[in-house]
Amino acid sequence: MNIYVEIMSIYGITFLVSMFVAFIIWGLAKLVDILPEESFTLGSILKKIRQNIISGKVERKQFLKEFRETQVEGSEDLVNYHHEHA
Amino acid sequence: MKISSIIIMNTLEFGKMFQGVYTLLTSDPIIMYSRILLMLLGLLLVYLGKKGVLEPLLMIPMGLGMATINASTMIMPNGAHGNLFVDPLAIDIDQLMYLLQIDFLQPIYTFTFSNGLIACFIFMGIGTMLDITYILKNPFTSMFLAVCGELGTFLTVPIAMFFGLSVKDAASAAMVGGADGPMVLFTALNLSKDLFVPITVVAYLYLGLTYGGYPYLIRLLIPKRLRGIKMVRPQTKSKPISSGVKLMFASVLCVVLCLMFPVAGPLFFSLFIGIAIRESGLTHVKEFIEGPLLYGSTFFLGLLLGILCDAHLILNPKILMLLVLGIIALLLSGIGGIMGGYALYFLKKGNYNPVIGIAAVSCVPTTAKVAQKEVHKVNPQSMILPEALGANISGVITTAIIAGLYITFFA
Repeated sequence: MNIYVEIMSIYGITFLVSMFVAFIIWGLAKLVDILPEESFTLGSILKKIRQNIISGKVERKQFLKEFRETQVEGSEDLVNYHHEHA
Repeated sequence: MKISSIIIMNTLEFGKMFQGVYTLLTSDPIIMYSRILLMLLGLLLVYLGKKGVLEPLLMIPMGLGMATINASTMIMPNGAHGNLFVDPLAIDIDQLMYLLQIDFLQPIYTFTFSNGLIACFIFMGIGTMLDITYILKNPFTSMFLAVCGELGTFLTVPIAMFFGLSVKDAASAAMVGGADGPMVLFTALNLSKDLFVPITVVAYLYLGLTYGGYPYLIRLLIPKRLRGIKMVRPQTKSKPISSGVKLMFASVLCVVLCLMFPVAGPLFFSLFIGIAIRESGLTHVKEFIEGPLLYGSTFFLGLLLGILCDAHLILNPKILMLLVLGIIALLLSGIGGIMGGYALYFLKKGNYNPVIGIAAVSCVPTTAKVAQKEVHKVNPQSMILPEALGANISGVITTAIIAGLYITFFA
């Protein structure tokens, strides 16, 4: 193969690999933003998951409470809303 | 008859007593003049090292080694000219075992230099000094600049082949454009067994000169108005990056890059183990690697490079060509980096200082410091060091990738 073509191919591969590396680094940096504030440990990740589950449960309870209250009034719209989003 | 025999006797006695002078006077004129030249060059390197023009840690042992090895050529028991320092050409096992007991630097050469271990030790030291926060903040721009800053590493290959070098020698010589000494040594050891000494010596000589030469390139290619640009950074609230994340980054990237380029595995591993040790809190190991190991390895690398500059070994018509190619490679890499800086300047609509591009030439941390210094001269309010260090560290990774590609393609 012509050496110029070969060298430019290697330059292209280097560019692609470098961008792939940048993508991995970017992904890791994004992960940091998603993960808990305090520190990047297994304990803190589990704590964050637990917090999310608990807040989810609370939100659900709140929603069901509101739903029951409004169901007594027989609101068709709210029933439909519940079927769509529950 | 009697007078001539006295002269011969005197000459023999003189030769026995002062073998360095005797071998100098009786050797081939080209070798003789080369030895004298190398002795003077060695002493000049010591002087320049002391004056701070070149890196003293490397240049003082290298210069003194170069001068000494060319002074201490002696007549060996088999009648040939040699020395009691090192024989890099020994291949036969019996001969090597003999030399390991005779030549005092042979163990260091055989067990650390010829297998690239010393380059890996230096790379570990570099790893412990790298703070990867900068690259984590701007990964795409840093890696983009790093690829641009490798222009010389690529364009020098066809130029070197035009001058008559083989593709392996050309690739090894072009690695000087990456401005990373251990990487040049590693690639040359793998690709160019005959020329690895002159290539590495040229690389280290020029790397010392980047600090003095690149500011002129910056001033030549970037007008004062652009050099003084103060970048406006977006006011986003980002979390501080913990050492655990950096450790994970180093581990994941090391595995991924080793999966892609196993031939450069030792280099990747050495760099990332350095980063991993820095971030894992192993203070004593970190202090050992960035102190005694790094400085000791650099000292012995300089010493061995100097000792290997024996006129008998390095006298090669390709040396002059390598000197020219080395400077072409570094010049093109510098231009490539600045072009990358300009590309980002236009992409970010003027909110980017193109001087950062020069820091993509991975001479850690020299080029980053050069960039900041040049910007500071024009506008003391402008701070580009974080971006420059990001490009600098990315340059190290990119150079290792290219070393892996060259060895894979050309070995």
